Amino acid sequence: MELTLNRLTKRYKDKTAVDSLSAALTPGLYGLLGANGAGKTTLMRMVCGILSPTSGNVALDGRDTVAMGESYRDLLGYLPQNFGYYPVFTAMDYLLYVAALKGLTKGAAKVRANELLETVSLQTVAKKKIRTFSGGMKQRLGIAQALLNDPKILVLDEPTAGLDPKERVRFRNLISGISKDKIVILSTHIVSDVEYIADAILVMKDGRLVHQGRPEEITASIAGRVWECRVGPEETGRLTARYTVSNLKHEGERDMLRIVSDGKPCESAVPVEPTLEDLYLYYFSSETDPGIPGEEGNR
Amino acid sequence: MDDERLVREIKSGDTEALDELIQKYYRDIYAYCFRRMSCRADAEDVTQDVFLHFCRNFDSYTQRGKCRNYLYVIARNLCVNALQKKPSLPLSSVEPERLARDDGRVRRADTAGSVRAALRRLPEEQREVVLLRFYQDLKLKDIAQITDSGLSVTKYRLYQGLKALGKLLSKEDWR
Amino acid sequence: MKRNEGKIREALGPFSVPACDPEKMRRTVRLAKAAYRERQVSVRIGFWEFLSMQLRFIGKWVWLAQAALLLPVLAAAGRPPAGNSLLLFFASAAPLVAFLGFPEILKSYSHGMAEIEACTRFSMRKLMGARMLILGLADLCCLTVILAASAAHSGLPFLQMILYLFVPFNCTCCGCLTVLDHVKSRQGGYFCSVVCILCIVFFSRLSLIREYYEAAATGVWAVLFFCSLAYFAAELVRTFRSFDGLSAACKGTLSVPW
Repeated sequence: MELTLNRLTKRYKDKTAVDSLSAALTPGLYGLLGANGAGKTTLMRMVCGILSPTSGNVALDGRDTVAMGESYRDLLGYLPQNFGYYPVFTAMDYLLYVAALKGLTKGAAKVRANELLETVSLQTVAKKKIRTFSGGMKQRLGIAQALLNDPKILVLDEPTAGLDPKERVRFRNLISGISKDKIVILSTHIVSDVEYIADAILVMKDGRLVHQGRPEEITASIAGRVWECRVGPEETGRLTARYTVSNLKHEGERDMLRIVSDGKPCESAVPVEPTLEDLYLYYFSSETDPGIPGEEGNR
Repeated sequence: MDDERLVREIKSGDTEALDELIQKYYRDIYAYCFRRMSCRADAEDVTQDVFLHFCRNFDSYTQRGKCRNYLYVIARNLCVNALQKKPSLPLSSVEPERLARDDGRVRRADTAGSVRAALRRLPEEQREVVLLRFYQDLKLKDIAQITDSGLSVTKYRLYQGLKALGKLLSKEDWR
Repeated sequence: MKRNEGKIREALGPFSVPACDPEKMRRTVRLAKAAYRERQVSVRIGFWEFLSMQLRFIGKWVWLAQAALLLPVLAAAGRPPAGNSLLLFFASAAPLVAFLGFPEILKSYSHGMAEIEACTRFSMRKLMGARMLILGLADLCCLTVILAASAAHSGLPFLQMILYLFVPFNCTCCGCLTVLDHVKSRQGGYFCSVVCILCIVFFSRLSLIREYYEAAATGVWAVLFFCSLAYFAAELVRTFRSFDGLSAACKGTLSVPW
């Protein structure tokens, strides 16, 4: 199975959201990294066929997905970044409703709904109204609906938003387990969501794919640009203002800084092995909020 | 639970009913497959395939006949396919049963080998009917349905099969 | 043969079967269950079964509201209407019947479900088509009940009653469909309610002027009926075509995240 994105472009009046993006995806988990406004959601919507590209197309095993129509949507599971629900629905109602839209028989819908509620640990609240759920519970329900038809292509837009660390770990394990014979595209700001489970990372910036490859391959591209140094507090202020600091740890009288920079930031800096988070900051540091990354006690 | 109820439960999505059905018929189907394949591992594989085929094609099982008969039909077809793929073995190399120490059991093993060899000498249709009648204890009416032939044809095949077996096993009074 | 059956069985008996491995049986059960599940999940329903399942998901409030509209009609059935009350009732009930279904049709957009619904097998068009079909038929039934209950003692010719009932209904539908075609968000519901109120006010006001309901005016009503029907049909097709992915809704933000 191969999903091909052929020079996908989406242009609006005042901006180009996706700019001639091409990629060939085979079964595995793809982490789509990019800052806000990079075009990730627009790309995902075009992959799902709910947004028409200005030019280019998406093809599955050589067949245009728009022409495939129903048979392509049958293979899809999609979790949008923001999604709603009908207020009167319980969790079970919601899954049965989406199952009907996905064409499952009543029997299959019940079986799958029960299975998935158990998988996402919502079986005890199956009969409760969704409006009583916390944000994390709603997100887990969203993940469950995406999996109802056992999709071959799973598109998840910021699926871990609102999940606490324990839930994120559980989600990672769940996705990792099912991505064997599926194409899973997962967009996230949280690098740790994909760092250890992604087969490939797609880095998107300003609507273009700037990097694509296995995590170790693309982090190797910024080898020699990540530094660690131990400095005094006055030096910390100067370095923080001037460079992108991916981690700052107070160690008594001195501070340990991890800096992403093309050149050596200070005398005592030593180059270290880059991580995916360093790569993210390398590409997107100018687009992140001030104070992110902030000080962290540990990584 | 009787088969009709089991099938109804399975249709409604109850996989525990499926479990019950398999447990009910596994040994019979396995025994039939063993006598067709003459090899335990092959028999186990084919038996598994019978139930997998049943599950995957459950929709086409419209309960025109007994569930048990339907399973035998699948088993019969899968055994035929499996035997066609296997290189044909000379009669003497049929999997021997473990020979015991004492003479009685050795004699029995020899007899088992003779019966097996004799059955293999029968034409396919006659062997089928004999196996289903005397080893699986099915009625002729059911055997006719499984082999997709008329009742009189089935009776005739049984008669001819026993006559041939009798000669092969030197039993004079099998008619 | 029956006499020798015992002997035959005895002769054939030695060809015994080794005991089956319980682990293999358990494995077969496991694989069979998985195969059955896979088959179950892979079977797909057709449109008509999908339609009947959608009936369950139409909000109960729609049926309750329609029942509430029909109750006074059924209660007053068999009694001659006082003055212009029947025409006033037609003028106010028909737009309401038309309006009641539209929030239900729009709910995908007003509750942020459109994005998920758009990329399912049945997609937005079929979902909207199913909803419109169900609600349209329900509306027709409602109007038929109103007509039937009013026919006996109204003193009006039946064809004229059809015109007086269906023209306000068609006009409201036309207005709401035009809204639906252009506004696919929670605001659409508010605009539809404005259309409904305007139609109620207009036709109610009209119903107080007897001359507009005389036999001489029937021709005008007939023209209005056919024109509104033609516009209704055209707008229905146009609106239906506009349910194409999220092209319309994606320009702005989709509706309310929780």
